[in-house]
Amino acid sequence: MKIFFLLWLLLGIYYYSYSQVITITDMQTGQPLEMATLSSDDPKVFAVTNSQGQADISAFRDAERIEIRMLGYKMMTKSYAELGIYHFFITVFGNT
Amino acid sequence: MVFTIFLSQSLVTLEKVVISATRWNQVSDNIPARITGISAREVAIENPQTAADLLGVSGEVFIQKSQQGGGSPMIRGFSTNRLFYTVDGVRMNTAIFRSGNIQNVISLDPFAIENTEIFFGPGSVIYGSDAIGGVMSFQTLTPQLSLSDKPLISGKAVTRLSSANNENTEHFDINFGWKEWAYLISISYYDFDDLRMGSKGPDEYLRHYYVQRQDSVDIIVTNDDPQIQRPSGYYQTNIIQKLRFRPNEKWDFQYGFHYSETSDYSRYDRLIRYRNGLPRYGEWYYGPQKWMMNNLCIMHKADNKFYDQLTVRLAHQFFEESRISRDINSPDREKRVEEVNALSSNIDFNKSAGKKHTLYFGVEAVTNYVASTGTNEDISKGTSARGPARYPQSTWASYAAYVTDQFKLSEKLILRGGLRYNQYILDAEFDTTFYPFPYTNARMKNSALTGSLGFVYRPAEEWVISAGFSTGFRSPNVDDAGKVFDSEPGSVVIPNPDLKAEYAWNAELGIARVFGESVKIDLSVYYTILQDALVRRDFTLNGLDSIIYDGEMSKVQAIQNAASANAYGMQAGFNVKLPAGFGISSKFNYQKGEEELDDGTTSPSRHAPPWYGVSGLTCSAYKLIMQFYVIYSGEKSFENMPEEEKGKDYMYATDSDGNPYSPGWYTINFKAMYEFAENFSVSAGLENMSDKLYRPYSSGIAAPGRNFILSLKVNF
Repeated sequence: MKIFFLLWLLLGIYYYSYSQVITITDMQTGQPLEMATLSSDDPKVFAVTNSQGQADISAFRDAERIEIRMLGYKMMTKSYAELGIYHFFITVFGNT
Repeated sequence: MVFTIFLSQSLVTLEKVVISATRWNQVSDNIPARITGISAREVAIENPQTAADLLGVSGEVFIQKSQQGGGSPMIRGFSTNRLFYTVDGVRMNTAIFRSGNIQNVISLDPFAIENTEIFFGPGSVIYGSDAIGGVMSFQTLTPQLSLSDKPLISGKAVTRLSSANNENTEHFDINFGWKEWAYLISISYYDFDDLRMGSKGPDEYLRHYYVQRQDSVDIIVTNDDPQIQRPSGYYQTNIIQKLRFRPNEKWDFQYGFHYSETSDYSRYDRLIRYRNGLPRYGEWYYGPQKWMMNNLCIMHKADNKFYDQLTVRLAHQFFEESRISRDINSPDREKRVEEVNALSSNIDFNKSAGKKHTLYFGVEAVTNYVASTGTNEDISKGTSARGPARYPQSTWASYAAYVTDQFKLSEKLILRGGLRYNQYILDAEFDTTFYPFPYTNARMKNSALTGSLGFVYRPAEEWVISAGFSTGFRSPNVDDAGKVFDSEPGSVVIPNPDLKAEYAWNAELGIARVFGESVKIDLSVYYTILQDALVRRDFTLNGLDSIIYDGEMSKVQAIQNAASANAYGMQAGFNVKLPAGFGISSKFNYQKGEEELDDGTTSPSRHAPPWYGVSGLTCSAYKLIMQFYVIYSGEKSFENMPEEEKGKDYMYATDSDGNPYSPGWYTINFKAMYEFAENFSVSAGLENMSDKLYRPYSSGIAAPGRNFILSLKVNF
């Protein structure tokens, strides 16, 4: 049973890691930010948020440094792991 | 489940993502050049009426207008065909871009531009001919895919009114996105009435009379309001449709269709010319300016030996412009129509070589077919006949290959160097029906090698220092070849098959620094030398310096690489973040230029405006953004006026000695935008509050007087 639970958990992480969507919003207003950019040198990946402030960051897996920028906003740097771990906890706690 | 990142607003960031430098997304602090971005959000607050006004929002591009449907940018002492325009990565410059002011940029729709960048200095390594003073790069709306199982349907509708020209503008765009497919359509309609100038300024700018055709007679009508510049109104329609297919992470296909058309629009600076106490012209207007582009862009990500990313851009563009003029009380109307079909293919690659090198390379082929026709009409008889064309029937082609290497020596130091080899060909056929030229065709084939080398040094997080040397070029085009039509009794201009490209040599230094999280200053200084500039000089034909032309012994002349010019200056920026959402920002530009004229004398450059800038206070409080700012420009005294401009006294104010000059000016402006709800925002503005009457340097039409703007936007 424990094995099945672990398998379910791992599959869950795997599934989510391939469909992970990030939303970028304005800290002050909470409005989604369109045209914010996410970039990483290793792997060399680039993404832009859509009209809902969302971008698929699956291609950033294993990136140690994801730079999130938008003209007129302060740059933020996150690793994929940071986003992934955070997401994992939300997923797990969200299901219990 | 979606993870959310919150970004905080900041006026003092050092870096941004740009594409103009390499055609690829890159962080600007890896690039030894000054690059300014204008975001869609700034555009929403500022509400520029045209794409030329949008460039002016940057505070680093000076906009000249000969008429309301005008907008010729000046950058670092260069303008017109020594500046480069690119739309969605496609060259917009055509072979008929002239040295006089141009307004092709107004074909673009500010509502449909999601990102604008201005790259200062030569960009010829990446963009080829014409990229001498700078590159203006416009990215139009990109179709967005859905990131979930539900289709993504989004868009905006905008309506806007402005008082100075009774603007009535509507815009609508909608995006349908699925997982692999997306489609968008964008439509805008602009309607500008005659433009009202300000009330406080030189009386010389007032419009007391205008010409109206009534019952087959040109009548000089008293203008009931001399502040209204009649006739100057026009309207414009823009349409974009794009289709995107992204079957997987590796491939992305985008097809775009762009169409823009203006109504007729009067060449106002010609209508204010007088002769013998009467207006010189009964009519002078541009026919509809049309621009169409079909653009297929294919992007591929790979991990092979040859490239990491590949982009193929195949484009067809069609341009049409026409000029219609008739002297006052004359029945003879001249109509000249120019059509350009431009085909372009670009293949661009990037490839990381180890941890330290990134290569950007590619090839380009561009062909322009120019068809030029002339018609002479007699409006009293209703007859028309073929007239001389403005240009020879011509084909201009350019073939090039380039490579740029970015070498990351350390975390603090990046070197960047690039080379481009460009071959260009011009074939022109001359019609001798109207001009008895001693030739019927001309062929010119030549090449240009350009390069750039620079570094970016970041001694600490808060410092960026960059320096670079770069060359740029402009190959002779059909407008240059068309100067043979300047032939007149006494002189004949013949084609010069040995004509080479003009070359620019540019050196620049940039420094930017942030202090804590609240202050940012930046400064760029540059010096550009233009060599082999094209001018008309005496020439020989078969060893003869004079030949019989039009029945008269005439001096032989040709366009030659015989002149030089230089431009130097500085651009400075200053931002301070204050408590409670307040901020101060300022941009200042100083430039000087000198050019050699056809007769060998020198003159201040026509394309170097006086110093100018913008300074303001911003306030951002939750969903309200307010801006209070001043735009200013220095004076161009008669002594500093270019020789060419000294003769245009009708355009300028008169100084105490009775000479033409361009007075300095400033405007006080206020803008605000409030987001009432997630989907609804209102922006309003009051421009030129003090109702200043002024003409930006070299402009033939006065700028808007006090102007109230109201814009409503619904996002969905």
